[in-house]
Amino acid sequence: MGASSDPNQDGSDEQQRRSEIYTYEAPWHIYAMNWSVRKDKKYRLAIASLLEQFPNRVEIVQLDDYTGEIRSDSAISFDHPYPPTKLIFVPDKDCQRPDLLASSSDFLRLWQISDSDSSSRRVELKCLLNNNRNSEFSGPLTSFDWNEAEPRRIGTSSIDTTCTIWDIEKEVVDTQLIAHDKEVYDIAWGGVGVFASVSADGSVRVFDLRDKEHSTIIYESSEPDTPLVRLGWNKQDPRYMATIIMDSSKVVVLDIRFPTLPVVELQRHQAGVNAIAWAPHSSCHICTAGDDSQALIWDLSSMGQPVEGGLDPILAYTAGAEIEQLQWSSSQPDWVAIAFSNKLQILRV
Amino acid sequence: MYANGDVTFYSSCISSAAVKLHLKEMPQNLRTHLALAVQSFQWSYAIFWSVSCIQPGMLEWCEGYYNGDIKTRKTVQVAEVDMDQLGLQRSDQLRELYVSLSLGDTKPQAKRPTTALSPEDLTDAEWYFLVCMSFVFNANQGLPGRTLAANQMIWLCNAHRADTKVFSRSLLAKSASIKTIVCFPHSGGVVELGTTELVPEDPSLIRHISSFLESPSVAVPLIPNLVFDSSSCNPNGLNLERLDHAHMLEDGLDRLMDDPYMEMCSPYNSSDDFANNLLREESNLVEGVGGEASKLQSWPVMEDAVSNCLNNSVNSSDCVSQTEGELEKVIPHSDGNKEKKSCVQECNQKTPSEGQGNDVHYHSVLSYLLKSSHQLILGPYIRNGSTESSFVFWRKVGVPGPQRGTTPQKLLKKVLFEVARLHQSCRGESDKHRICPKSDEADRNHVLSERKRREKINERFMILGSLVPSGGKADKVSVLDHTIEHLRKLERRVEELESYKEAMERESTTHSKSQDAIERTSDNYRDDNNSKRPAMNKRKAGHRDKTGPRLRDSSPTDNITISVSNKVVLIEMRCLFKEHVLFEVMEMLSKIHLETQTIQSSTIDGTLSITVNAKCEGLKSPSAVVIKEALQKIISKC
Repeated sequence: MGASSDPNQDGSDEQQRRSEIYTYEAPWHIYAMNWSVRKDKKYRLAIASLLEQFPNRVEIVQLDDYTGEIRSDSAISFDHPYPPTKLIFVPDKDCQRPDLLASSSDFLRLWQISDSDSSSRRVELKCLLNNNRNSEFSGPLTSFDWNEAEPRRIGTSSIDTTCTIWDIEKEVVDTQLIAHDKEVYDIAWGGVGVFASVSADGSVRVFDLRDKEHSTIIYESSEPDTPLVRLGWNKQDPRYMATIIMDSSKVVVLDIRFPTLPVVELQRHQAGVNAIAWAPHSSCHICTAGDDSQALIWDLSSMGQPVEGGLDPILAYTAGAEIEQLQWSSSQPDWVAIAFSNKLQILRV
Repeated sequence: MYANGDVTFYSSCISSAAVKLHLKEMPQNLRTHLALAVQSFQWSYAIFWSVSCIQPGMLEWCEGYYNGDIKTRKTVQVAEVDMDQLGLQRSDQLRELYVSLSLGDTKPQAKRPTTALSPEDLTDAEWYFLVCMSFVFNANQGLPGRTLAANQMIWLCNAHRADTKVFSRSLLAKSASIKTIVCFPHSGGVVELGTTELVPEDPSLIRHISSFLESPSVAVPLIPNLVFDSSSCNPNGLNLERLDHAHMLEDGLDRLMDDPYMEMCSPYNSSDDFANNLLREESNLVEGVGGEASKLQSWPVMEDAVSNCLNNSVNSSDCVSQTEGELEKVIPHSDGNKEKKSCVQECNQKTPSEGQGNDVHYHSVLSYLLKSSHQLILGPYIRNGSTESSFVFWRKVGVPGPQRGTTPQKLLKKVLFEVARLHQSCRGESDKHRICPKSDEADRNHVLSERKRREKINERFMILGSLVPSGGKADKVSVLDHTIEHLRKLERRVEELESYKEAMERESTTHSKSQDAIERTSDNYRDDNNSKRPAMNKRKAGHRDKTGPRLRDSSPTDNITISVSNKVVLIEMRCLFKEHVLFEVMEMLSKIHLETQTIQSSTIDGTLSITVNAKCEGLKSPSAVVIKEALQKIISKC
């Protein structure tokens, strides 16, 4: 690793030959995707289709160490109603909990993967969580986040302007808050009992479950009512979070101690940004990916000091198409997974 | 453990000044000595680790000479330079580079002079050398630490494949292909030499090296044999556990400082005895060491047996310390605010953490040092031995822009907006889907019964059609029409016959014939059975079974019935089917001035039946007999 690598590489083909990139091609466009966290199942991911119809598919894929290929395990692939907007595996590295996968679409669903016993490998719906008390249906969920510090809590965001906090062990709603004036597009936990959400009303609000009446707006998009579409909270350094503005190629990094003033704006993408992921083990690295087919890694350690011309990323990867999804593995922090068109790629950082 | 703590501290206070003095004298001479030593054996590098003045008990890089492969030479002068000078210069440059990198965080935009080296110019071995500059070792930690603590030479073969528990820089060594490393205590510190070749242990070599380092006056003693062959160690045992980020760096450091198990190695002073005493006390940690009091610069003499014991005990102590203790790790935050002179120390003395400690250290060192050169290394995880990153350094220019004009964040928007609508629309459909199954069943039943009914109706129509002389048309409407007509005809007939019957009865009494009497002839005319006639007629008129003609008719062929009334002639005839009969009948009728109004013909089983309604055009209607004769002529003609 200490070797000075040739900085004059160009072309992703050459990159592929030299370095570790593994690709999986799915029969459909992939949107929701995430890494498995368990220690005993490394290099395992869940991917989901984005088909505009009722039946969609979720596949569990794993990198086979020996063949170097990513294979889909058909025994534990399952049908999913409507395309999932997000998938998260239970944040349980030490394998103390059952192997759960959560997905959000019309409802929040928890799926139990029974993988150990070779004779009966299957995925079954453990529970379906519907937060609408009035009718049979609930507002469609745009996103959700599983609290790593408190794994019994999942927060969901919905287009009905509410955020719902679930206690999934009891399978009940902990709280349902009207978080914004418009549709809520993303939600992220920042610790025990603290979460933030972004919305079509262009604001980032932080909520504390101990004081549900009040929320703090820590950022509002400069053009009024420009929706903020994605949010990421730095799990290593909870002062920082990053958000994506709709139709914008910049990523805004915020410090919750200094509301409304972005710490830095990352403006090196050449088209709209689609996904962001903070490094799970380093407090000052973030990865962003967008429509320019690039995944960029930034080092934010010099955040306090203004850099002339804007901060440059340190590493870049060019994929074959617009990158729609990006997830940084929390159990294997030198691996990043991206999804573009119908391909999943895992990259070594 | 803290027994000599006070002593060391005190001694450190006294001797720090002395140490500083002592160390200052060293560099110039030392480097040349190191240079000579390394060059004589053509090894790759030599490093002198000295006890740190800042942090007592730690070994840090003091001086070094690099004698290995060079990639890019950057020198100002072009003229011939002495090889030695070149070598020293190179080492200087490497040191400068290290210093500039380590200062990088205070001066983020500092530019290096053009003649200075930059990271790309270095070979792997040079990198190794440079990175070594950042290492510090606690007492009894790492190869130099253990060397010093044991006051023994350590010869490490297959360093590049060593377990990181044994040799913390094994990964570095691997990247640089440093295969053999030797450490021995010297002048209060540790001299380390390394080479890219695999050199078996050779005590004479050590002797020679030390002689280069010493002033010639000092006698060269024997060197103990402490071979540490790590070739049997499992090289790829790196675990890939992630670091626990529970602690901030400062806390971690405080912990380290407060840790009662932390051993403080005393800094050296020029007093041999004192140092020896200390060494002896520390060497109690390692069993079986029989350190003799001797001059500091001379090597304690060991017997083979003892050295073997030592070997084993070192091993066992490693093993023992591996099992104990938790794995507490300290994260290196390469945050500018965390200002530290030297890089993160190795983790707690617990040996298993040394492995991770190395990872941490390695990572921290490189990311800390090389921030300015934008190299991100996040841990030396080895899979399949390849550690190439998929990412490349970011370049400002040269990235082709995507096609502008396409909707930005198209799929993201689709997920957020359209997918929601999808739920609603699909929900509607799924409702319908849910209702349908019930009605299907009822429908199916209904359909079946309906079909049965239709089939029954059709069947009856067919029967009706065969009963009625429908003239070939089998559609339901025609069949019904014919039936109606036939029924009317039959009723008329019945009426006529009944009236005829009455008339006959009257005739038999009155013998009167009216002009309007209905003449009837039948083929049974020939039969002189008058009484039979009406019965025959009746039968003929009444019964028109399928089997009719065959049953009653004696003559198998012809049957003609003609009835004339009021200029309307009804002809019914039956004959064997022959072509053109119908046509000729019509022709004949027109000849005798009968206008054909309706004709119906049907063929059943080769028997042609014709029914004709004709109207008389002329003044006088032809008689039935005439018509009949004509018809018979036709029939017989064909």
